[in-house]
Amino acid sequence: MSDLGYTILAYVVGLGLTWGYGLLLVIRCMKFDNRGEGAES
Amino acid sequence: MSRRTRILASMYWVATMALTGLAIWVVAFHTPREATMGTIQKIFYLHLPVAINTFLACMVSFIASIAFLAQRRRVWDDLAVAGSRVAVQMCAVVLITGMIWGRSAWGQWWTWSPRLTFSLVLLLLYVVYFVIRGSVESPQRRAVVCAVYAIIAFLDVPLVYLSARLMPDIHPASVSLAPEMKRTLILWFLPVTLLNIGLIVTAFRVNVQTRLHAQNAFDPMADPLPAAAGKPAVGGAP
Repeated sequence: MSDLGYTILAYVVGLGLTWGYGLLLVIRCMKFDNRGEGAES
Repeated sequence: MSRRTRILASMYWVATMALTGLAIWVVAFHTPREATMGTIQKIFYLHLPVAINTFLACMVSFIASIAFLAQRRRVWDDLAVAGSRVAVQMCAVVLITGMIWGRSAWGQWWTWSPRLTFSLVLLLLYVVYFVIRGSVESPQRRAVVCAVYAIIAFLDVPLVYLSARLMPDIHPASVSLAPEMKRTLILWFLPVTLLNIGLIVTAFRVNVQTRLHAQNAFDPMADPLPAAAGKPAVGGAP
């Protein structure tokens, strides 16, 4: 693999892991919020 | 979560995403290639901010653990867990990006140099933190044991930082950059730090809500969740 390939791989894996984890957390948080609103209504 | 808080949270994530996009664009099209290492040096703009933010996440866990032992309030334990969770995730990214850089720059994925070894130990220490959490049944006892463990685990952070400075190491201890490269590095610190803070705060909220749900599940007469506070709890816990 070329240097450019390794660089792109590092950014895709690094940002993919951090943003992917962030997205999971936000979805879990929204589920709890919706449950709370469900209890409210 | 109130409507206003939800809008603010959405704006925060959109701003972080926009800054990440801007940083990618700058590193791809506006930052000059380093003379000796070439394109592969551009991994550094992600690697260093994530490494510093790993230390920040470890520090959040450390401070929250001390606060828990001092006050015995469960929210501090929730914050320590959030910090440790993000520390594991960030440390994994540091090691992966470092390994990819090493494969190209040194010709090998891994070498047992002091900084790399202490970084791997840091990751394993925080992974073990969650193994310990899963092995202690009593919530109060679990929180105390994990708080003490997190304080001890944090001692590896100065070792990671100082290892390349105090010991002979293949890993560079400091890097001198051209002004354009410095600007790119500073720009990358913004989205990575915002992402780190966002992850810790969101993980903390999830931990608090999970704990409150668990408490409600055990005790149907317990107070309803904060979102439903002020309204009568109908039918007990879900």
